Parts: sequence; structure tokens; C-alpha cells
Amino acid sequence: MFRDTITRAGSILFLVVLWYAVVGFFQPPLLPSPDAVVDRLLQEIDSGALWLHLSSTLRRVAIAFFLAMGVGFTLGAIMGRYRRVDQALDGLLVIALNLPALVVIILSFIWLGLTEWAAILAVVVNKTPTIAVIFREGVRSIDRSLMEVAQVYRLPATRRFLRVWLPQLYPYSLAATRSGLALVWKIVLVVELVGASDGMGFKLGEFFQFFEIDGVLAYAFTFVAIILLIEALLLRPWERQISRWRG
Amino acid sequence: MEITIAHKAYGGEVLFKDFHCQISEGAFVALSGPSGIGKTSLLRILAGLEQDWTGAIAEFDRESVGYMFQEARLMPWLTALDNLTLFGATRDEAYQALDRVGLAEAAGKYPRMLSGGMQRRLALARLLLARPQWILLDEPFTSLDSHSAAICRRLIRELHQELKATVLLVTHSLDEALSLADEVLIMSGHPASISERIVLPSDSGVADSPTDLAKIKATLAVYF
Repeated sequence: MFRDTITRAGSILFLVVLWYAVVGFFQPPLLPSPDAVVDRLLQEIDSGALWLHLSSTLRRVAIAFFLAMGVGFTLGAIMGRYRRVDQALDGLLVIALNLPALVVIILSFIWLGLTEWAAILAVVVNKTPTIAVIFREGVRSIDRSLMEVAQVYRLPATRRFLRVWLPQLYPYSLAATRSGLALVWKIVLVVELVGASDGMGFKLGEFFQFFEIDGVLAYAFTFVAIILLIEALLLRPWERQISRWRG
Repeated sequence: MEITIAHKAYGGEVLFKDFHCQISEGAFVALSGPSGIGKTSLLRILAGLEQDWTGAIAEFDRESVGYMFQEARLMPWLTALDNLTLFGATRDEAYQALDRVGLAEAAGKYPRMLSGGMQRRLALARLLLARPQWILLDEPFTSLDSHSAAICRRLIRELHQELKATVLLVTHSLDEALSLADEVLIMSGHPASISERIVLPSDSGVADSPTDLAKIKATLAVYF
């Protein structure tokens, strides 16, 4: 366990050392030192700017994520269950899957104005198709023979749904959550860059214009830290929980 | 119980056409016949798992069916104990049932960790907790180790008496049919019909009338 942690941390440690070395030897004008980035980070925390933009982004990520999961799950489940619906919607799904995120974002802002809901809608439209595809696959893989057991032994419908049907989708839910979170984060930043007046994406755009590289890196690391936190505190334990029976 | 199947096809082939079969309540009936003849389909129709058939079942309570499939069909993500409590048994009842099938030690184990025979016994524990009036068994003892098979056979005989349940056992083993059942039905033909019905003398397994038994064995041996 401890050794695992060392191994995992090793690569990151190596990167930091390399960074110090590069900055120390070459003093490149476009790469600030780690210390400068940490200073900048503390400054942003002190001024409250980091929290302001981070919370806006987190709020958008959370809303968009749950909406996309809800819609994607429902759509995928129905398509996985009913062949007719699947046939009818499959073409649209393929188009939606391949629509460039930027197109959706631009159209959303043009048609709905530079509003919060336009931003969230753009993310949801981008993300929902992949989630639907994952859950469609999940529902197709439902083991009918287990559903028959539930039927023969007259398990009440809600119990049948919650304790026999749904557990078979847990691995798919985990996969959808992982890929969902990763993608939603990235799209939200682009959305903010294009048409928001706060959030990490907006702030990164500002740094870009003023060439403030330490600012870009400070925000990027915050972003990565939060992803790692979510992974360690939520996703890993959840994964352990649902895959315990596989041993 | 009286079942009439006017029509049932499977994969383009007509399995049943004007099929008729009668089973007296409380009987222990063994059902045999060539593979693919529709024995499993018959059980599935009785259990309400088949939709596309026409006909009628009289004097039969679908609300009180216990079914052992050819496979154990356990929920892989639930422990042995939870596989039983899922269907409404209390933990105490579930423990008792596990004990009865010789799986008391395995309560916390997942199905993946159990041998094939143990999985089958767990499926039997599930059936006995349902306390069904109708027990449908689809080759439940094939490819079982002798220990598990013996436990299962004894339990099914006990259940039959305890619950006064009617048992319909699909089997390919003549010995099994003779030792458990009090009536043997042979299914044959396309579409299928009951071509032979032999009532076994009571306690045929113990063979108190050796000549009768030899005769019956000879008659039945053709079909097994």
C-alpha cells in the first residue's frame, strides 16, 4: 500500500524536480518557477478570486453533469430496451456524438444569448450522447435470466428494479461518471472562455491575453487537485464498493 | 392441474400443438424425453415466463411456484445470505435455509466463490424459502458432485412431503426418476405429446416388488 503510494507519487515528484532543473539552468522567459506559481496561487486565494471563479465553474460542472447523466441515462435506457426507439434515434445520436463541441457552444450562445442557461445547455448537449451510449450498452447487457428469477419468485416491481435491474448497471454508471466528469470539466472551461464573465475558463482566457503564465499554471493545478480529490474521495471508494463481489 | 397448449412455436419450429397434460395435485412427477422436445418450454409456460403461446392452465397457482433452472441463476453481486433475503426472507430464516442446504459457513460469500454444487444448493435454499405449492425442477441435479446431489435430492423429497407440494421434475436419469418420483411421464414427437405415463409402485426406490420394478425399468429404459 505504502509502496504503491510511493510509486504513484514518484512520477509527479520527478516532474517537479525536472521543472526546477529546467528553470534553474535555462531560465526560460515563458516558464515561471514552481515557487512563482505557488506565490501566485496564494495571491489568488487571498484576493478571493480563485474561490470566486472556481465556485462558478464547479457549480456549472455539477449542474451540467447531473442533467447530462439524468437525460443520458433515461435516453440510453429507453434505447437499450426498445429496438424501435433505438432505430429511430440512432442516426440522431451518431450526429450528436460527432458534433464539434465548439459548434454547439457557439450556436447555444447565439440562440439563447450569453446566459447561464445557454452555457449549461451547451455542456449538456455535448455530454448527453456519450452517456446515453454507455447506458444503452448497459441496458442491452442486462441479464434476462436473472430478471426471470425475480419474476418467478414474485419480487415486487420496485424491488426488482432497484435490487436486480439497477445493480447490473452500476459498472456502467461508474464508467459514465468517470468519462462524464472529465469531459464536462473540459467543456465547461471552453464554454466559459467563449461566453462567460466568470469561472476558470474566463479567467484562463484573461491570463492568456495578458500572458500571465503563472496564473494559468496556478489555476490549472487547482483544477487538477480537485479532480484528484474527487477521484480519491468519491470514485475510488464507490468503485471498491460495487466491484467487491468480483473479488 | 390441467394444461392445454393449443400452440407454441420456438425458433420457427412448432413445439406444441393441441398438447394436453394432467398432473394430480400433490404428486411427484418425473418428466423425460429427448432433448429439444419442449420439456423446458413446458416448465417455462407453467411458470409464466413464456408469452407467445395459446392455451390454458387450470387448477394451478402461478403465485406459488418454485423454479430451479438448469443454471443456478444467483445474483452475483449479493452474498449467499443476501441472495436469500432479497426475496423477502428474514436473516434468521435465511440462515436456517443455508444451514439446511449445508451452506451455513458460506453465508457471507459471493456466488463466484462457491463451487457449482454449492451454487445449486443455494438456488435450492431460495426455492425452499418461497414455500411453493408447485415445484418445477429443470434437470437440477445434472453435473452435480454426488454430495450436493444427495443433499438436493433429500431436500426435495422433504419439501414435497412438508409442503404437500406438487413436483414436476425434468430429468434424463432413469435412476433419479425411479428413486424420487411416483409417476413418470415421457414426452415425444413433433409436435410433442405425452406418449407414456407410468405410475410407479410406492417406494419404488426401495423396491419391495422387484418383478414389477424390473418390468417398469425395462419399459422405461427405452426412453432414457
